[in-house]
Amino acid sequence: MNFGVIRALVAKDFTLFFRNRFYALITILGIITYLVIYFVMPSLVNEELEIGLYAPIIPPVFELIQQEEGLEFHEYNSDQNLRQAITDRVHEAGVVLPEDIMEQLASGQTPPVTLYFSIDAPDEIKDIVETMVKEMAYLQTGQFLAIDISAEILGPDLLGDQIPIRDRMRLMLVIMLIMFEMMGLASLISEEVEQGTIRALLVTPMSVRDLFTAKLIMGASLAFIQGALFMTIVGGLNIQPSIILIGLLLGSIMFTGTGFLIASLAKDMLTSMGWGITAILIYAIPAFGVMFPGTVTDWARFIPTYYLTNIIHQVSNLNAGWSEIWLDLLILMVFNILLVWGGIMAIGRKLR
Amino acid sequence: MVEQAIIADKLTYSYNNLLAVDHISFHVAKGEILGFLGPNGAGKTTSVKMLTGQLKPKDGKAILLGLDVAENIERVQSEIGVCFEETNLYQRMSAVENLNLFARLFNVKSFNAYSLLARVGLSGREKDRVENYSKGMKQRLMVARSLVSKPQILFLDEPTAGLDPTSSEAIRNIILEERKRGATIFLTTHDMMEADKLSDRVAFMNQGKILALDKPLNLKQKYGKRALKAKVASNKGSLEIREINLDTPQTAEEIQKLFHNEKVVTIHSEEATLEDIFIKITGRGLTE
Amino acid sequence: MNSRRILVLLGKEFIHGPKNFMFIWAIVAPLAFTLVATLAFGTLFSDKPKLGILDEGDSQLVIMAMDIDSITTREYQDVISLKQATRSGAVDMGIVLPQNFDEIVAKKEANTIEAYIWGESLAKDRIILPTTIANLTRELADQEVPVEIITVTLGDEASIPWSERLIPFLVLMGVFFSGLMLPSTSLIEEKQKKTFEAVVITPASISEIFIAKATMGIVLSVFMGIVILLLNQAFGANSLLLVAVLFLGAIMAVELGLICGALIRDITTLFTIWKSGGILLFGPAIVYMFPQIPEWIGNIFPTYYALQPVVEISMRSGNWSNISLNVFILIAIDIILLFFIMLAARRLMQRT
Repeated sequence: MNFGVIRALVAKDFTLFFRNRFYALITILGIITYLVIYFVMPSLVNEELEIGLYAPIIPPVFELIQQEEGLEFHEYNSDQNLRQAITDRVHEAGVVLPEDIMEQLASGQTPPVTLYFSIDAPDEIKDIVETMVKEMAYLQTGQFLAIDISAEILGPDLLGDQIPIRDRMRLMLVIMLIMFEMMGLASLISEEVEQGTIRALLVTPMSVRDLFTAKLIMGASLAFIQGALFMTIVGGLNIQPSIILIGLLLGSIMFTGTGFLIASLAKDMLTSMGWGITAILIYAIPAFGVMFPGTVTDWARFIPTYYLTNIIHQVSNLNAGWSEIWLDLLILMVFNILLVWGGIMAIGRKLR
Repeated sequence: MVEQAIIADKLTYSYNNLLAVDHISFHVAKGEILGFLGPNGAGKTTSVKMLTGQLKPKDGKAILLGLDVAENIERVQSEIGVCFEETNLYQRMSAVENLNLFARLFNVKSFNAYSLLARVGLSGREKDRVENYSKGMKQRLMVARSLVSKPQILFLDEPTAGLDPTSSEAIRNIILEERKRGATIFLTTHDMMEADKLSDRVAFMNQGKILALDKPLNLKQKYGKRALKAKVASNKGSLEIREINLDTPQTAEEIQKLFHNEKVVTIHSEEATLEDIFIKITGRGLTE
Repeated sequence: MNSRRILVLLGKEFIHGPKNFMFIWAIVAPLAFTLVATLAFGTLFSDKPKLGILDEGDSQLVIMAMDIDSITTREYQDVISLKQATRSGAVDMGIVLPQNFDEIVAKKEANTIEAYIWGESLAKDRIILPTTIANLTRELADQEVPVEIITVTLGDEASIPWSERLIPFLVLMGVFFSGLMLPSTSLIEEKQKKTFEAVVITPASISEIFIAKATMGIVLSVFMGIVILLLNQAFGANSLLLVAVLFLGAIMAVELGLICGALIRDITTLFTIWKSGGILLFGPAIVYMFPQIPEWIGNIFPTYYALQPVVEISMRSGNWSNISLNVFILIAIDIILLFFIMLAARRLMQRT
């Protein structure tokens, strides 16, 4: 390994990258775009089912249930006001209890309860509100269930402290941001092959290993800097920044290794782009699983990004520490070694 | 004993089942210029790739400066300079940046890109991006790049192809200067005149084999014929051509007869060109 | 303008176009996304609370729960997989019904159901699911509902369910991926391989070359738009108007593609623009996907004027009056882009 040579090659790659002002500008715009997406996304999670209520007399059970987390009644002073609120989509659903509900229930009659729904209300809300009202009526008439539910919370309990959509999305955005560098690197190598400059390099005393170490440094650092910058701005480094940064660095190296593999498969820049998109789609699956929990099953563990995703998600969203993620880091390192080694071998073989 | 810079010993290479280079053997002495000639697809580029360590021979050996190329790639490559046929410069970098990069790759201390660029006639445009250069300027820069490490062996692949006469002449002068410095030059070219003018020896390659390798003069003597061509006035007043072979024992007698018996109007000697010899040996032209 | 030459060039595009990797991608990618969306996204993006049941006996409650639309119910075969599903968020709550659950309910015997709650489950889901289970148990026990429920829907505009929110994205992907990427990559490739130069010095004019490339892009773009709408069963009633709007959208995509192809030097730069500029194309689709984002934001993006009419006709049974303004804006954009194409073509000729 010749460090002087590597330094010269890294400097060359950076010069070529930033020499194309448009390229550099677009990279900056890319980060801005991802930042805009992040900040446009909702920063809060509304955990409550909010229902409008008009009830001249509120049955005690309704008041009792209202105190529980998850359901919130907004009282209105007239049926008309409630109707208007629902029409204006202030709430998706509203409940109107008759004035004499208590009397009717006491006398064994079935009092009419009117449910208002905005036209936007999904069917599930309609069913749910109806179910809730029925259940409250059962309880109000003293029909308690003999069946009791004993619940155990699995995983960290985030009640009242849910992860906002944008923080779930943050992971996807940062991974996409650094993943795109993988395609950039693959294109850069394809460009060198297409323009023949790689031949000029290969007849110098520089070894193929030096060449790809330089490309690895260039690709990984470019991806890492972008990822770290993005995470800093969106507050992703507020918790355990060292773990997140190590994760991002390992991820950047892993994507660079994949970039080598792509470049070894691709005949030209277009093909490298096609393979790059394919790799990105596969690599994005674990991050997709974080955005939509439960959608990705155990097979995702075979995707290298699963461990990167897990590290960043666990640390930045669930306050995990070294003890919880050391194994993921270790596996990610193994994937890194395999992909970088495999990538360099494959591209070296292609060039030879 | 003459020290050899390049030794090709039964070098062989095949692409799948196609034999591109078929057990070729030759040597180039230190300080010698070897013209490597052959039509497209003859196996010239593959041979150069094996000699410069870009391809590993399927059989045989390439020895440069006493070192087996396959086993000492890095050491060998430190001592060679290669100028490719296709332009492969970093287009978004300036000439100086291109040369400095390669100087660093060759680990050349105290390298002065400006003086090298002046030598190839690129003064004043040193800091321009290569993408803004003309074809001739790019070619001169390619030659300059191959000289960055002051190589002991210089491989030049069509260094003057497509250039204007002035640029070609400039590059030819550089080649001669390099030879004067002591460099060995392996010149691949289509230009027979150039090969004839510059090369100490020329090799004719066709279909993966070296068909002839010798000094241009020897080849001409061996395969070509020198002749004397004279225009003589006939009795009817018209001009006729007489040709006398200069390499036979009867040459002197025939010349005497010509001047004695005929009314010679003009006379000039004619030599076979390398191209004639190439066609004679291979049965095909260089550009086929 | 010579129609014979255009036909010759078009023939070349159709014969050699499919060899281009982008051509295959332009067809495969939107179809793959559609497949994923129809198979998975319809339920993946659902806001419905998710219930997991492990039935140790043969309870009717499982069938009843499966029949309810307001929640998503999945059945599991053992406690390990139920807990795993709950821990990963595949379900919000997992319950274990004992072997003789229906008998216990019928006899009104006291019992406890073992349950697991996903720590990230929202408060409202944590109240909805137990209430729903309680309601189902009451149904199982034939308890009479003590109130009469009257449902009234208020408002006059229908909403788009989650499964449909993705369609705009898929349509944009189909129309713009092929419409934009095909002419641009084809033009850049021709420039790089110098075949453009060779064609342009024949009597064929640059406008004829552009028309041939545009025709190819428009045909594929409209075709993909139609296929995606058909696959998503969202073609609507006014098919002629829909095809006309798709055609206008395809023109816009192709025009952008030709401008990119004419101005951009290499595939890497095109890809870099696509990387961050893609948001400008897909912005409106994101607005449709997330109703939390104010709809006016969509108006900023030029593709909105192609997408809104398509969504209006295909998914909202809209007619000419609902889309006329945006269609006129779309036509105006198409005309403006035509001027930009002329400028780009002039620049291209100067550089060739």
